[in-house]
Amino acid sequence: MSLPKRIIKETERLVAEPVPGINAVPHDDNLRYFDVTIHGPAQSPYEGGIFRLELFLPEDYPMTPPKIRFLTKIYHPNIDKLGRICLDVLKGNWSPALQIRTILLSIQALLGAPNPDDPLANDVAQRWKEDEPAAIQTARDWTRTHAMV
Amino acid sequence: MKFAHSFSQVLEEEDFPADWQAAAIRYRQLKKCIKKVQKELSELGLTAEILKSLVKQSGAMMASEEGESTPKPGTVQSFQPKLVLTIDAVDGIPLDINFSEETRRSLENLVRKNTQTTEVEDGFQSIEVGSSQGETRPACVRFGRSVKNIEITLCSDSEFFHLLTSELTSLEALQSRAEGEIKSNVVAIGGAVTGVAAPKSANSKSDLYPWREIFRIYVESGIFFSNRESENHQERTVEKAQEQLALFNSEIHRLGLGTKFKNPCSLHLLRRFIGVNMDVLRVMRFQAINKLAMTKILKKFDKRTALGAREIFPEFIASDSFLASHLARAICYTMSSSLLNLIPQLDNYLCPICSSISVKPVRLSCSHVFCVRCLVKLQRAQKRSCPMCRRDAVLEADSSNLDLSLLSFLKEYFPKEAKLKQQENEREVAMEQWKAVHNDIFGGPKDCVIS
Ligand SMILES: [Zn+2]
Ligand SMILES: [Zn+2]
Repeated sequence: MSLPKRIIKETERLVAEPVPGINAVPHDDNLRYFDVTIHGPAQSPYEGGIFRLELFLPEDYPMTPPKIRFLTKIYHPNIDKLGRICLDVLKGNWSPALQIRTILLSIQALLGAPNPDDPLANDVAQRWKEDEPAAIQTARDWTRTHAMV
Repeated sequence: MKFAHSFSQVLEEEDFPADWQAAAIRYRQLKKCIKKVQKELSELGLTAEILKSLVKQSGAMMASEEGESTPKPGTVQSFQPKLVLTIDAVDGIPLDINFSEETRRSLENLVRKNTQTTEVEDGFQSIEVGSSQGETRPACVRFGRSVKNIEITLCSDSEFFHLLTSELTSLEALQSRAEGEIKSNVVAIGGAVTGVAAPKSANSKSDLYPWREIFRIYVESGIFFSNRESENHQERTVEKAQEQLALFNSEIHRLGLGTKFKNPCSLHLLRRFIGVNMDVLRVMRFQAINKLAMTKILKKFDKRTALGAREIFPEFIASDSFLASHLARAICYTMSSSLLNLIPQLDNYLCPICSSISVKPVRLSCSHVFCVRCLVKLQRAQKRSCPMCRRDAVLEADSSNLDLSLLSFLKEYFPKEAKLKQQENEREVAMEQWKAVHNDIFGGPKDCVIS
């Protein structure tokens, strides 16, 4: 199955003009499957951490959004235990004009601005709302334990 | 000494035209002038050391002499350097604290000499440099304070700056002349290229494809400005620009684009195109070396006189186009609008969904354009909103949304790409039909077709 032009172009640009703090490399044997790393944004509890994600472009991409999941454990109200991400542009607000790079930027922004009112990980969100400093401290601890290796 | 030598050497070696050489900054003459300023200041009893300590003491700028009422840029003649000493008109207490005896004496002399000609309000004056900065001395406060400026016109200083500014004026004139020549050259090349690269319908020996490739590589090479967003499209240094131009050149050779021309004029035009870029580089080199000369001479001036010209002078001539280095920007603008943009590039006509040429192009009511295949897919998936602006414009689109003039434009300027896309579309449709039949036979759900 030949790779659609759209995916080829996106991959080329990701390599030629990488987004600062974001790295996405396709697998040699499956060009629809990307190893991704995102650097935790400065001034966030994730600062200093490097988070690994997997990204897969489904058959009908870009009509449907890429499938993305955190592989590194992360304490965040919008990311659950399995690494699934609650982000509108990955769901109903997806537009086929969006790209891998724009989506990864959105995820990076989500790390900088957790939104406990639209949670995926309910327990984390609960804690975030009840005792934000403690939740942030936990996020920091997790970052140190899991994302700084 | 060293720079004076290497400066004149570079001017000679670079093989700049005679009128350029003549317009270059006269570094040696300016250096002589600095000596005169030094002499004049020391006759006033102001050595560099004294001036330096004055500046340090007050924390204020001794060298505010460079025209408070800044003249309009370009009217350099009107500017008159002055040494302004602000003194306390009331306070009888002599100078503050730490001046050395020598400094204090020479300043007092200076004030006495100058106050004879200016109006003195209140007997004995003391000098306070930059008193507006408010060194709070109780004595002053008690008597209420009035300050007074004493202005000392520095003749040789003014000579130095007049010389320097007139140098810059002639450099500026030279540069705008060179810029004009380059621009009209670019426009001429643009006109000629439009001729040889006109689409086949108008020109059987069309060199549209090789020229498009050349311009695409040219833009990608980012010769005078970085083409990277992450680098903010920063202006290149001369050296880097030279490097990028060489890269562009070798890429053209590697792809053998010069041999793909059908029209013999094209090769000649390609040489002219590269030539005009070298011209820009030459102006940039000339500009760079003269800028360096100016920085050096101002540095020397400050070292010898401590008048702080380096900080004020560039500001004074900031709007000067010679320093504003707008040359590359201006020429690149002309290059884009009158040459590069004359040949449409494929990247500007891609469907934002499939990234291939938007054939056939459908224009939604929000005016965004997609290829018909992608639009059909959107409609079948019941997506209502435009992928670009999210307006509810997808489902209402029908054959009347086909942009026929864009379609004929694309077919004219991108005949190969349009044909290929058309074939791909047809193949895709055939595949879908085959699948539909297949599913019919085996009873699969119909709406699988578009997945
Ligand atoms: Zn398309
Ligand atoms: Zn739209």
